[in-house]
Amino acid sequence: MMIRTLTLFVISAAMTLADDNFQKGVDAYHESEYESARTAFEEAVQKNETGAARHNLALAYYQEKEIGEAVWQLERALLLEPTNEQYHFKLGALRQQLGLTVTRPSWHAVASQSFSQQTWILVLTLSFWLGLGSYILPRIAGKSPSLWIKAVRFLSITGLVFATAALFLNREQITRGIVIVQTPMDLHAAPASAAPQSGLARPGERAQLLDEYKEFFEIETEGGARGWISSERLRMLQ
Amino acid sequence: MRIKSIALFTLIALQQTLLAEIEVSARFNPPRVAMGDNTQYIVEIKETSSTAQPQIERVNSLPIPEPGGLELRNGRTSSGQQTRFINGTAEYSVTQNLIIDATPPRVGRYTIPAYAFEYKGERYVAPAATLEVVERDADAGPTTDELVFLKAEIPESLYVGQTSTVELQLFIAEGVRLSGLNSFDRSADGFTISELPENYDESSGMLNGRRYSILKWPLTLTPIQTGPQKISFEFVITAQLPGQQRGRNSFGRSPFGGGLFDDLFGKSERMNVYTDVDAVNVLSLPEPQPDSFSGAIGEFSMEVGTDADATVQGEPIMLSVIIRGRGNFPRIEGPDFPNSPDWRNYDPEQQFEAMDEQELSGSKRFDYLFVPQRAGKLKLPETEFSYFDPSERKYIKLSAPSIEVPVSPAQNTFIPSPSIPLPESNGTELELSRTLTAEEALLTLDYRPKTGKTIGTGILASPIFIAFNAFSALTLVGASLLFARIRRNREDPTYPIRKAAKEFLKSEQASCLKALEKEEAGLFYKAAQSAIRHAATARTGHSMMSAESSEIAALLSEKTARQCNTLFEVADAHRFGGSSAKELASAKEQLDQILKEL
Repeated sequence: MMIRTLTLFVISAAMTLADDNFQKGVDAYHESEYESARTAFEEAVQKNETGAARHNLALAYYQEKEIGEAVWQLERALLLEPTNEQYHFKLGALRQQLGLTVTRPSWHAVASQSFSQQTWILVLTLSFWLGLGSYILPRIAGKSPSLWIKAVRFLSITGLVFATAALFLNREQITRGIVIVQTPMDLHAAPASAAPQSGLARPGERAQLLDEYKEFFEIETEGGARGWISSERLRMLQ
Repeated sequence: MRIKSIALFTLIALQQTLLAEIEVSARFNPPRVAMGDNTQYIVEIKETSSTAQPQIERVNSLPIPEPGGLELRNGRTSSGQQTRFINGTAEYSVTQNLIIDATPPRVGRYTIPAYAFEYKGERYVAPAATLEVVERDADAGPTTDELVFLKAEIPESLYVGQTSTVELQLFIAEGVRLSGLNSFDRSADGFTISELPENYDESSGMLNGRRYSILKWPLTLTPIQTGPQKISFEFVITAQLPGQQRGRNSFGRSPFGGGLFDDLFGKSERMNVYTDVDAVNVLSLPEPQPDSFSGAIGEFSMEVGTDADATVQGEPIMLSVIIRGRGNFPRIEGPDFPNSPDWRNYDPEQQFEAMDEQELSGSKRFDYLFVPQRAGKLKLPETEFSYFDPSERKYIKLSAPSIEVPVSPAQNTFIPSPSIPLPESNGTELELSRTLTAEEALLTLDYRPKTGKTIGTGILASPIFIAFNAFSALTLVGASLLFARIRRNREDPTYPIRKAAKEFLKSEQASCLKALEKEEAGLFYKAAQSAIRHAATARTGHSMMSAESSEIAALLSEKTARQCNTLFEVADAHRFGGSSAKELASAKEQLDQILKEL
């Protein structure tokens, strides 16, 4: 009982601290002290990662002209709150400023992101065991399935289909990152900075991680450029 | 020890300084020239030491008086060092020559009096030097200045900021061999001048009865200060003059003229050629200047257009202003467009396309981005551009009318979240919120932190997740076994009897073994009979506990049936009598055979 109380107290204290930092960040932003705002929002994110904190951190970075960082923070905010229209719009505006393609995500992409990947994994697992049980046990027992069993079967199949589809649609998220540079950067044909140029990665551009070797990542940008880049220049979203 | 070393080093250095001897001399070379020839004024500083090579120090100031209009210019230095050994004693010397070109204005004697200057912290006196300039003989050859000279046609007056072209012409007389152009310099503090092009145009022409090769370089000249501004150009060239011999004739060219030998054995000479020092009258631009004047001077035309006829709210449209003509393009700035409630505009992107090498003619394009702030029929502002025409000596104003652009409402706009509802009032409702532009939206914070989702697939490695799956699998297996058993019980009523009989059988077999060990025949046969009955029950599915031995024997083969009957008979007989261990062992074998068959 005492341990539970203590745990609750610690969690509550951490949340309060995060809220304090969030408010400090808001106040500093209003005072146009963007560096202080950035520090405060970063601390808020460390304590309690929320979409709003990530979003505000993005705006602080934007004010400091660090556009690549701003894009990453907004993309992350959208992972936390995928249905937030404001975030979608602002990310689109930012990408437009960077000369990147602005497209609204498809309905199935938004739907697949309505729950976190962890939730989808849980749904998939639960549906699997329920489905297996509802099919095997009546057969072993030699009984025809009741209406309840049929309902469980339907729910488990639905859960399996949706969770599998969502995880399939989100499969690229695991290897997706953002190019964090201030100016367009060369991609190299091999994992060495002296290797010939094979393409160009633009600031804030999305990229899929294909391979890695020492301090280099092989990536394919959303613009179709493919090559090796220093691992410091690509930050994964997950 | 260390102090001793320092003291010794200081003494050696002091000794070297004291032993070093410095001599200063001054002379004209040649000291006697014909009118029209140039000469050099040379101050020689020779430093001699017997202990070590003396170090040269730069002479910062040489206060030379200029007597009688003798023009001195283009000062430079040269140095050399020498080591001599005389009777086993070394003598080190360093000579520094300060060389200044001298041009006499007329015939006569010119004496530069002795003057003092500072060198290595000491005062030295340069002795007086005299130059004698005599009349040129009527049949004397041409002077160096007549053979190689530099000209530049510089305009008499220019407006400040006006860019003009200047053609630099290097005249090289026939017979002069130009070996190289070593350096180019200009003296023009009040101007910005373009770099000397690497390539030049070459032509030939006659001047004063002499044929010249003329090398031409185009330059651009832009005055930056008003008032009379001096300007001159200079080349350092290496050339071989006709008839120039190793021993230079003080009176210019040999009166006997140049021959083949002279050309073959003549040497290349490094020389400086200058333009005359011209003064350009730089005028200030007339006042008042138009508001739209940004420094353009020349002759220009303007073209204005947009990249689209219509746009969407928030989507930028590009207004392009193209200035064409001839003038100071590097100084031309695009027209200013103030922000308006309808439009937000940004600094233009500039692009210049030159039509000539001097970049005086061409077109400069300014691309402005205008972002419409609302929907409707909006007008892009008028464009005004003014320039100063130096030939007309007045400002010319160019203007283009405003351009109407239909702006449709934005499809993707950010509307701020509704604020706390205000108490109802009877007054007219005032619209406090409006659609924000993308730029404005990017500056608006989110004030409502909500607990977000957990990102990532870390749950797969979570012990709770693994335990949950293991528990689910075990539950399913357990439930399957349970349901299978229930089903068997339900479908086969003899199953419990069989199962119980098997369990009892095992128990009775154990009792048999115990009785065998204790050699208790009564107990053994009792347990053996019970075991056979349970085995028969497990086989038939119905109780055989009270069955006759013949019923059980019917389940066995003939031989085993006999054994069974015998075992039952012996069991009955031994209920009331004893038995040997040997008999029990035999009975155990029979029992095993019966149970195996059952």
